[in-house]
Amino acid sequence: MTPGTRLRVHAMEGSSGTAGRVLVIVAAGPAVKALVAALTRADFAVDSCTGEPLEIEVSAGADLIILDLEMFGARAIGFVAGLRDAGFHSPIIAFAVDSDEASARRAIEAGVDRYLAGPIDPLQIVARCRSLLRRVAVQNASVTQVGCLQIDAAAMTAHIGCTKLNLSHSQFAILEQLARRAGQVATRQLLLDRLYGGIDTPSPGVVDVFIHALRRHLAAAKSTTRIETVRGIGFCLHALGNTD
Amino acid sequence: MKIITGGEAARPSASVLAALTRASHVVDATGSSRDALDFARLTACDAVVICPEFADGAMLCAISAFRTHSPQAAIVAILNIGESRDAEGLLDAGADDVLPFTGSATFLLARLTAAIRRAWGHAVSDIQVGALSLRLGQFECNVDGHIIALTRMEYHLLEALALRRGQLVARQTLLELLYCAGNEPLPKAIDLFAHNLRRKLAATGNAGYLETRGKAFVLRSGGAIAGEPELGSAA
Repeated sequence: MTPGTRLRVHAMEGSSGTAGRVLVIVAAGPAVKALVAALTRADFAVDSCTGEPLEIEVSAGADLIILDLEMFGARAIGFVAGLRDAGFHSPIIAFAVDSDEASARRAIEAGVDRYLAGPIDPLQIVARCRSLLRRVAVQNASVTQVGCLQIDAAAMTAHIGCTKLNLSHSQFAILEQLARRAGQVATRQLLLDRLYGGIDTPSPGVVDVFIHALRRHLAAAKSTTRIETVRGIGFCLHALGNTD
Repeated sequence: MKIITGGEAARPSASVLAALTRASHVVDATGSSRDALDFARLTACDAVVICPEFADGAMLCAISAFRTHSPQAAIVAILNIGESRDAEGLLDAGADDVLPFTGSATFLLARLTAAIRRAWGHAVSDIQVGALSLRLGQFECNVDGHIIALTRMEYHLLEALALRRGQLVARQTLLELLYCAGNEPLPKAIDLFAHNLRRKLAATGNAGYLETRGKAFVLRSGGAIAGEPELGSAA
């Protein structure tokens, strides 16, 4: 696979695609028409390529690729591996009408997420697309962005642009709670409850200590995201330019 | 990887259990699909493999409930040949993959590995953490091309952390991932494996991958990334 190459695709008309954007690389025929129709009915935006692509542009923006391995013959595994090597990490569903388990295993090892043997079953492929994109949504849900501040709850990291903030566990917990409610006020009691779970809760003043430290971190990183004190109530995180 | 199995269809269930055990996965076997899903809510695991006889409403509800409780663990359903009509219902309820029972252990293991790696956000089975590279399910690990010899438990620990790359994983979670139910290892066992792993990684000239933060562990590229300054100090 030659790096930096390009796939020519055309978008299907009339599809809003709120369920996601699917790239279908399948040999021309009635089966592909039925598949595209089923995906469109399920509210996917569908781009299709019915001839073997000479080149592929990884930044095509597809949320998922459906791939007919038989269209590529012996080059199928190399095509999949090339996609992954070029940085395409979104899910791939591959199928082959006449397949053997050794080919299936090699395809999966190369980077195929789901492998289907036998004739195209449009309804099952649509169900698998939904299942895989649900997975991607779970992964993306752990990341919150407030202006230049990005918080990854799963990794417990906070970044201002490319700069990582070195926060303690408690500081991170408070910042995460503020980020989830960006633009809204989080009371001191709410932040305390999240930190201590209502057990042996210290004085509410401890929240102010953590807020002071967080402000120092944000200022040192030259962040445009600020923590505002709402007197008598609590704190609010907002990106500069987004306040009322 | 830690797998919980269960199923009503006897033949697939027994074959699945045998295949997973031969591949040196950590396996907890239960008597039914419902039991497997219920048990997986109580303990950490990478995947639940079920062999339902029927994909009826109760089964779909059990899968949905488990998916709500544990959005991360993969669910793989194995159906007898000819039962493919149930696949869509299982997938929409929350299963990650539905595959026909072919009796092939290698095919099952490949599909299971694909489901688990996607559940944790990985597109391929080779997981990279800086110069460290680990291939899922193959008991292979190398740093800068130098193969590191690991014991079975050291590999399981490294694999669990690599799947959850960059995430803090509690010691208790790691105990549940590395041991079957019924075993009662000392909590310090994880610290011992981590110590040995650090020693072997340090011997390759690459240290700092495995961090301890309180009662949790995390695997990430050693130290600050070049060009990414860290500010302030932890309070």
